[in-house]
Amino acid sequence: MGTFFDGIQAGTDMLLKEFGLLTVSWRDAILIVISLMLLFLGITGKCKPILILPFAFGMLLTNLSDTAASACQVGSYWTEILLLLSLTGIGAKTDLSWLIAKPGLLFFGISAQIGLLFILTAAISSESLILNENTMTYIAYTYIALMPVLQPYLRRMTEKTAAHISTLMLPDVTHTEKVICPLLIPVLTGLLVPAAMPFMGFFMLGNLLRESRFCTHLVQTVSQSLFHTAMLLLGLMIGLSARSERILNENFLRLILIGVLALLLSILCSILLGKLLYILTDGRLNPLAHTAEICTAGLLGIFLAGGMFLTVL
Amino acid sequence: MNHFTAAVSFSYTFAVICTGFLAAAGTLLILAGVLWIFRRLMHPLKSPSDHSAKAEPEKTAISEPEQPKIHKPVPDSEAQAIWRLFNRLHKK
Repeated sequence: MGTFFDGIQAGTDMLLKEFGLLTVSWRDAILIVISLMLLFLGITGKCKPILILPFAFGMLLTNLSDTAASACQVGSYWTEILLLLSLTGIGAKTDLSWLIAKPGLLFFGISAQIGLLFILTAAISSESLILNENTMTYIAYTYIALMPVLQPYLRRMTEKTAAHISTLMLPDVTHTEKVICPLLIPVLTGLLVPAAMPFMGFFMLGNLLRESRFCTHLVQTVSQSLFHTAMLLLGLMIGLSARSERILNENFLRLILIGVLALLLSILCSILLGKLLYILTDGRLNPLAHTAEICTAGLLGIFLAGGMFLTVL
Repeated sequence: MNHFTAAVSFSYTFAVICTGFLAAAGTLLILAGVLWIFRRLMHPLKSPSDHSAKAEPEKTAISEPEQPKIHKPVPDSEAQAIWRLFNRLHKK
């Protein structure tokens, strides 16, 4: 039987074993510094704080202590639900008038798909990467995490020329068209690419709610409270899964590099395609005047390409 | 796995991915086409003759001559009539 002093020693040993300062490895320290930098960018408004703040905070918590990660461990099932809810919110915020009036803008969705094509090609050419659902999820996370960081820098690429854009009048699109469009697109998607149905369906559900005139409270909830809650939880969960032992390895760093390159390639293709269409249509289709619609087209393109790749691979 | 087998495996997977990409691009084109047809159904294109018709409305051969407008005297209200009568009486 141990003495009183043995008990003190055992207690001290246990405390030291769990003492945060001693358990933090150099890998954890690197990620803590990165998360602090991201927090700084988010707080000062240099990056979009809606995703970067919860992501960076989750990353900071999980690398400081194991318990934070284990306390908030949830399956990919919840992540998917949150992603779908955030898509509903985006759909409720999106006006499809320009896409209905100028369906040619959907061509920009192809440039977004080129990024995905590059990711998959790079993934299969890299021998260490195993292309499974986990890898795909990580690529998607990298995409989501990098977007708010890169977006302000990418915006500067187009701001110089954006000054020449004249104010656009809203196209003449009837309410009937606006209601039929979010019903027509999921039906076509379901018939052609069933695997893309969840993303497309939830996005169009949000848009349908927006266009039905008697759901104002629901639209407000979906596009504001629910959207922000979903984004907060999604960012936090991605951040909490960013443990140093999972991230700081050759495989994952390669994935991040591929994600950055794919994103840049998608944007570069969009700019080139935009310039080509501008020249071909004698300036009637000005891509800089339709940035929001091009983003929507890109989103639809990614849904379809994602569904198609999931089907063929 | 030797280099040849690896190259064959890569080319096979790349071909599968390219097929998926082309199919996705094709689906987008189909979507754009359906949206365009839908738009045209809702807003049919007007022929040049329609435009000219809108610009210059056709005049019928037998058109009624414009009737000269007859300016009828506006009837006085009761108050005005009383006031006029009062003034006449006052002058007298």
